[in-house]
Amino acid sequence: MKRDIKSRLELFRVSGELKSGRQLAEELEHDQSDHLFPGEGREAETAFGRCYMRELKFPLEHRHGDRMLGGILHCCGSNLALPTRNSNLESFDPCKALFLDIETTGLAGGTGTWAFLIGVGRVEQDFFLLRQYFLRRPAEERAILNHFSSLAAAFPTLITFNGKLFDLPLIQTRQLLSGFKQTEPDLHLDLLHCARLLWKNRLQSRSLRSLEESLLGLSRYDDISGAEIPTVYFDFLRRGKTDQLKIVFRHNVLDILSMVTLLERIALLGGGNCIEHPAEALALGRLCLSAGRTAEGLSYLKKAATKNSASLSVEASLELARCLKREGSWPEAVSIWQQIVANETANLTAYVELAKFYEHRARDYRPAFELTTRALELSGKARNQISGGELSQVALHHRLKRLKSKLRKTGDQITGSALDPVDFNRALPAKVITNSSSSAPELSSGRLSGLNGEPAADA
Amino acid sequence: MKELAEFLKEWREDPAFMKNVTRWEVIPESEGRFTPIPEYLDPSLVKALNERGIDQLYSHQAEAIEAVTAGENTVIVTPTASGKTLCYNLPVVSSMIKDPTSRALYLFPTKALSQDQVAELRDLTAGLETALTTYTYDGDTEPGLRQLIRRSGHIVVTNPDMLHSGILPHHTRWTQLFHNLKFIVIDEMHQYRGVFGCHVANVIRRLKRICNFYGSDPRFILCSATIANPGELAEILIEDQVKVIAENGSPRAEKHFILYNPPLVNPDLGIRRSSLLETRQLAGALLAENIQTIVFTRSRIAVEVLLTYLRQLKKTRPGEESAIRGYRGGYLPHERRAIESGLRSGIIRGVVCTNALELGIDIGDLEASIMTGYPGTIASAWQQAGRAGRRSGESLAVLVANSEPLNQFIVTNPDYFFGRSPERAVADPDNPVILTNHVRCAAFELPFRDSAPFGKIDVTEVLNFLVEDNALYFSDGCYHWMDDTYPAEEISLRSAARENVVITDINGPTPKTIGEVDRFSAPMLVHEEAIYIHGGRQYQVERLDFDEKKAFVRQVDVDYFTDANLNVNLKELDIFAESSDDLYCAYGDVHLNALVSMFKKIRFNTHENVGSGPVKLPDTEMTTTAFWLGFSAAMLEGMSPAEVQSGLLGLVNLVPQVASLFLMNDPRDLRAVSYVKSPSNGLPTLYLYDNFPGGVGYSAILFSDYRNIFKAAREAIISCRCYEGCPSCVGTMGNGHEAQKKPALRLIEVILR
Repeated sequence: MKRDIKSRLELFRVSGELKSGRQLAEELEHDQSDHLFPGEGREAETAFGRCYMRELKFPLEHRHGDRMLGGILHCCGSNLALPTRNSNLESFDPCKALFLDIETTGLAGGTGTWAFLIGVGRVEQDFFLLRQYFLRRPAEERAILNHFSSLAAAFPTLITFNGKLFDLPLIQTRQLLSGFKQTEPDLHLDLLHCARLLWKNRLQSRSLRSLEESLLGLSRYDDISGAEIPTVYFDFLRRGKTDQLKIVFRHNVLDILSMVTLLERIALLGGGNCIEHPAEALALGRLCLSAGRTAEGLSYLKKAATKNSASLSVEASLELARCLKREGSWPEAVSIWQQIVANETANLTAYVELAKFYEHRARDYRPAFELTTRALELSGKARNQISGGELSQVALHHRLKRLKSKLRKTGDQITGSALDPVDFNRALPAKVITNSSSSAPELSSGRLSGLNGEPAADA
Repeated sequence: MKELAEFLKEWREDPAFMKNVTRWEVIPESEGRFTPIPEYLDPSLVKALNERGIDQLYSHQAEAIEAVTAGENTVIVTPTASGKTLCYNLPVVSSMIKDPTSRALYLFPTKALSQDQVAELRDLTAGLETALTTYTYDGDTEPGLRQLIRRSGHIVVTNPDMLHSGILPHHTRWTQLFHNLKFIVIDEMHQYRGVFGCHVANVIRRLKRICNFYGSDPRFILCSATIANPGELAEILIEDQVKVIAENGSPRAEKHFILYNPPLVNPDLGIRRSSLLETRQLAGALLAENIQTIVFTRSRIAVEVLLTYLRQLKKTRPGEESAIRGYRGGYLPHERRAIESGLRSGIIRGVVCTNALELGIDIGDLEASIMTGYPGTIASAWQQAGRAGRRSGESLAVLVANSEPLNQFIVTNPDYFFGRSPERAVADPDNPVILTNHVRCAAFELPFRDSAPFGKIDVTEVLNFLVEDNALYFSDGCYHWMDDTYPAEEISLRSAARENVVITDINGPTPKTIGEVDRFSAPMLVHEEAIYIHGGRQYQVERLDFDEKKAFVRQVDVDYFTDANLNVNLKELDIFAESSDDLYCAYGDVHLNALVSMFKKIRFNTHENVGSGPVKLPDTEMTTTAFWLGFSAAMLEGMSPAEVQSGLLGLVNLVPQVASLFLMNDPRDLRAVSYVKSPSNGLPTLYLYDNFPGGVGYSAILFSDYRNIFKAAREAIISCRCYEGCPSCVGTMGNGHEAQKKPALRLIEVILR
């Protein structure tokens, strides 16, 4: 039975009434992609055959979201060096940068993934010029790569979004497979990295889509999700379908334009302008500190710490205190930790930092002991346990044990194993308070009562 | 404390011991043959060898080095502890000193072996002026180190799985390696057989394709334990000519090899005293005399049980660490390293292990090796026995048999064991299912030019199938990968079929995966209410989600096991070859349909039927290859149809077991089914089929070699001391069925006539 159908099919195949997938594909090769974008598409001749590309010219006044494309002309390198953590960007020139975004046949990576649409954009005179190389069939890949490679070689700076991990390695793999030199830009600015540094605390997600919505004033309609894109291309190749393909082209255009306005936004923040949210001040503060710009960093952190967003201000305060401690400004640091503790935060860092201070600097073991006990208690209640480092339960127990023996040596008996109510004011030694030049800890006794009377979790 | 020699003398004089010994083979000492270190090896390498006290080589090492240096693909067949690693390390390292741009790829079947190799290579190359780097690259390699290894590792040590899913699909990141690849070393080659062998042969086809793309043409150096067909297997795997070096030149001391059959306790059922308890006694006696002993068991659970027993016999003082240790998968790496070095230094006197210690991990030379049960192949048994064996002074190996047919066959027919190995490693790289999957991977890695072969096979049909399946796209004379998946991820080299049923224990707070069964066996083994035995524990199947391929089980403790009633319908599809003098034999494609309709609960020991239930599952189908034998009426004259049926059923039980002596298959990989009247050819027919879609290559071998297997089956029946048939030979039907032993023997006589 089975065999019969097979041989019958063979007859149909010979008579041409039944076509194999391969024959269908061959017929499609003389396709109609030239008519995809009348007036915009053109063919170019290369040493490796012809390739297809589409070009769009946007005036610099073009509005994308709530900004104009021309804004990037004001991006200066000194403002980019900070949020990119790359001092080489000092010499950044927006007119010598190439924006790159590709659409591929899969997200898995590896040698079997193609870049079927390579979108590049750059400023040219009064325009933003966007070009999309499109792979009409696999055989044209070398022509496309050849054309793209010589364009890319003319630009010292490459700008991408997640291009360090995805777009550039994939292009390089394709170049290697085709026997071409790989594109190696002098500078590669991956905007995803900047976005992570700047908006980690402000935004849930740092995807380009979410950045557009929260920062760039752009919401997309009728877009296509990345996961569907490969299928659209396969439908074009195998069945000549072009309707969905236009959406993919538009998707790629929007991605590139968003990179332009995002870059402007990053440069503005890097220059200290347009800080809309304390999280941005915190991020800038951290970046300044790691770049060695301490004074600037401290002022950002102070800004972030005073803004009213509880968890964020704690984080900023801790960062600030850490920095003050490193500089040896103990009284200020202690005062910050004490405020955090007084506010009954669930963050253990302040307790441990204070305990360390009392144990090793003030050598006053009693408050150190109480703080550690309290930290352990909080840690016991926490839903997620910290597994390593000095905040872990193991480390806290260890510290408590050591403090206990130090207390014993100094003759301070722990009666009732810290279960007794503790006078917290006594736990703040006079010398610290007098040492601190300006700000004595602002602790109200009402706040403190919450600290007393509760049994320690594990003394 | 007694010396081993004195100890052996006592055993020999003990009639109670000797009555269980079926063979005491003394393998005489041999002096070994030595050759000077060849002059063409780099002088700095020779110096490094001299510093390690090596002034000359064994003859087989020198032969191997010469063949490799002359540019030949080489396979080296030598026993454990014959210095085989130098056979490949010396020519590879010497060639690298001369040209430090060259690269080598080493493939080992397990990660543990890779680690050991790297340590040895680093030791050898440490003092050289030319800096040569060796790295393992597998799932455990730190991400930070990976780029360095890809760029500048001279010798990259990995396993076939990593090559398949991590290296080949990303070959553009490995340009340095593939561009300059001079040598590919494949150790433990005999492990690449059956389904695993089919996969690895195709991974090697892909590897050679990539090398060709980058312009390199590496030589292969392969090492194997003793099997009947090392050259044949090597040529199947690398599809090229291979020089075989099989003359062992290493010296060895006298070795005593004892085959030990525990006494029968139930002759009807063929049940013998537990091999585990017998081992406790034998190993206990050796350890009491402080003789350093390694004990192999068949399962992880047996390791722990035996370890407890042996520690009871040899008490330690409080606070003192026991000199007897366990070693198996699941122990942490640092524990393992500590045990290995304890064995080398002699502090540890006894170790109980699974086959995890069978392969080349360096644990020094022990005095005695005991195997609890036959390890499945003769090659494995010799590897385990080889763990005991010193340069001077005798050593001991004991194989303690259990009641299973193959165990009984080996101990009662020792000539198969001590003679020339009958074991042929079989693999069929052209299995259509496996081939197609690897063509997918290969097309992902590089496009196929029209009519370009894959290895030596024309895959045009496969490529066209994949075009129609929308995985490939044909354009301008090339087949391109055009799909958004990563094919290597979906294909596992180790599991038999792509769709296994995963068995999950839902007893504890978090569900735990305890094993897998292939889709075809699932209805039989993990239907609802089945008792699934794993690691010596019983689990009852609570739910089988056949569509999702998941079985949920809970641990139980009951006094019965379950036996599902399997109805197999086999249909011949295509005959590749046939011969019919009197006996009709053929092999070809068959289609199987298996339906499990009910199961029985059978009490342990008494084997009485204590209950039954229905199984409501769809039937499973498989197309595979089979070998079959049909009997004409004239040949069976004098046998009643009932006798023919019992005879065939006896052969169904016995032949797949005996066949594994020749095919090195797991007995589950080859199955049998019989018909008193076959629906395809009308004759009483015995079918032996590969239990894997598309077949693994067993049936072709069976077709050409079936007489040897049936001769062995005859000996198995004759040498079994049961009366009418027992589970150790042809199986037992009990409950008033015909005895199977005599009719099975008669059928064999007919076959061999």
